Amino acid sequence: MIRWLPLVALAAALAYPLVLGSPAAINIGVLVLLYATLGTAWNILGGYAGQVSFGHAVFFGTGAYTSTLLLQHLGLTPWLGMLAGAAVAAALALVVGYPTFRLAGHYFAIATIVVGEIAHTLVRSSDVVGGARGLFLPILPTALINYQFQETRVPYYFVALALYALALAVTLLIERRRIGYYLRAIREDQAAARSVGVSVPRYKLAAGAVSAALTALCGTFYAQYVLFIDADSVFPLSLSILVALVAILGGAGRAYGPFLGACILVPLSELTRIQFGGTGRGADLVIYGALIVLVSVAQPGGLAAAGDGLTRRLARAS
Amino acid sequence: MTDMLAVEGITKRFGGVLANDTVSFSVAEGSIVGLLGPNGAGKTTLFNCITGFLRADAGRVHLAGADVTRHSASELAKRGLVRTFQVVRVFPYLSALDNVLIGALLRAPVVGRARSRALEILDELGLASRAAVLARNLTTAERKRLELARALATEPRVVLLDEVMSGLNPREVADAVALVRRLRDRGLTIVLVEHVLEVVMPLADRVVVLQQGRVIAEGVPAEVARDPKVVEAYLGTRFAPSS
Repeated sequence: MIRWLPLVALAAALAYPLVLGSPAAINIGVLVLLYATLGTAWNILGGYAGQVSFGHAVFFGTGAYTSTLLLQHLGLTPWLGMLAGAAVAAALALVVGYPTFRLAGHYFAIATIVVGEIAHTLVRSSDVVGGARGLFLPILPTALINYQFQETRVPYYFVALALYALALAVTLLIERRRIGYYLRAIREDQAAARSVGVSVPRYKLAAGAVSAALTALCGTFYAQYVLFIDADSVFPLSLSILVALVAILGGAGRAYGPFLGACILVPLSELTRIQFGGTGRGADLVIYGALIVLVSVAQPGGLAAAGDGLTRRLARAS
Repeated sequence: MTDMLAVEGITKRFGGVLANDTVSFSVAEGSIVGLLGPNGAGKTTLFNCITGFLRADAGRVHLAGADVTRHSASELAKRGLVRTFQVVRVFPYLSALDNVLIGALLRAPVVGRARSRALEILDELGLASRAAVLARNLTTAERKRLELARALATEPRVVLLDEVMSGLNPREVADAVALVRRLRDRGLTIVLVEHVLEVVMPLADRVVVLQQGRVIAEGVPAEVARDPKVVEAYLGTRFAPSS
């Protein structure tokens, strides 16, 4: 039965928009998949290679701004803009990673916060990219090539599902290959990894570039979904932290972990927003905090680790 | 026989402390060289300089005739020089099998191939029954052997073992000694750091004795053991035979 779980999940994911067709349900579905993809992308660097980043919003924002600027100025379809954004983000990850990957543990995490905040401030104060006013995307007729769907949001759901499938496929591919083993070796003990021939800087850069590219794809998707971006919506520290939380709560270093994390965190955040509205700003953060405490005390491996334990017990029982 | 490893004039300074002072020695192919010295003599620093974990201030290292001075640790591993650590460094949250598999990936880039190679090595070192156990749950002796297994999986020409015997009980030491002999008989070149003389003397073909960062004696174990400077370094002047 457990072997069929991925297929069951896929069927459920495909049926979801048909069964629960309300705009609110579709919106939650889209957000769950978006954050699952972001968490999965983060997981490659933060979970497998153990390089905890609190700056991934930089790549998200890079994707959003790259495709949007290319659309506004050159009329380039966002599909190509999305690829361009991924390429820019990967290049940025290499440039930023080269010096910061030398930092160990907490120092690396701190550096990523700094880089994120620098990018946030730069974008907010640059008039060339809209400054604090942000950018409105041109409203185009519904068409696949335009990456815009006005009448119903269901197509967005399937695009998000495809993005998640891509991120998951990349993760599974990495996990089973030499690079996956080398990334885990780097997470476990860098000196020991070097001693058996792992070129630590090269593999960190590779993980960073892949993670950044996948994150940028989500940025473009967000821009096309919301049709307005500004520095505060696509570059904030809170986004970077949420992405890391999704992966950590779900299970860092486990392929399916971030999806589980997103399934918990996104509805929770939506619920608190509905429940408390504007007066409850930060209520979701209180709950996230409590969840993180709970995870680190009860199950440091995240939900996926708890799931593994359950699966083992079920397998033994049957 | 040719020198597999040649160290010339390695000097390493930490602030005002001269940890290694123009240290030179060489290791013939297929031999065991013991690097001895009391605590603080600079053995581990020398190891770190040779294996690319520290950058020596001066001196050169040659591996099989090629100058490998200032090569990174990973580059040296690719060229066939690997080490183990004084304080054992396994990948704690990975299984014993995955630990060795990661070593094997250096020469067998396809995971399936590396896995079967790792299983062979685990079997050879008597760890086959522990393959699925997380490295952190192994005993100290097992973790030391696992670290060696991981190093051997890279198919090295030279291994530098930093106190593989320390923390082991007498039976485990005997096993480890037998293992080191077996590796040498298979053609591996071995450098052993130990501060326990009884372990190294019967095992090593040659020994190099360090004190306060300098080589104070070098030669076959029987001669070196009688060297007044060595006795003095270990026991103090009171026991040194007057020469």
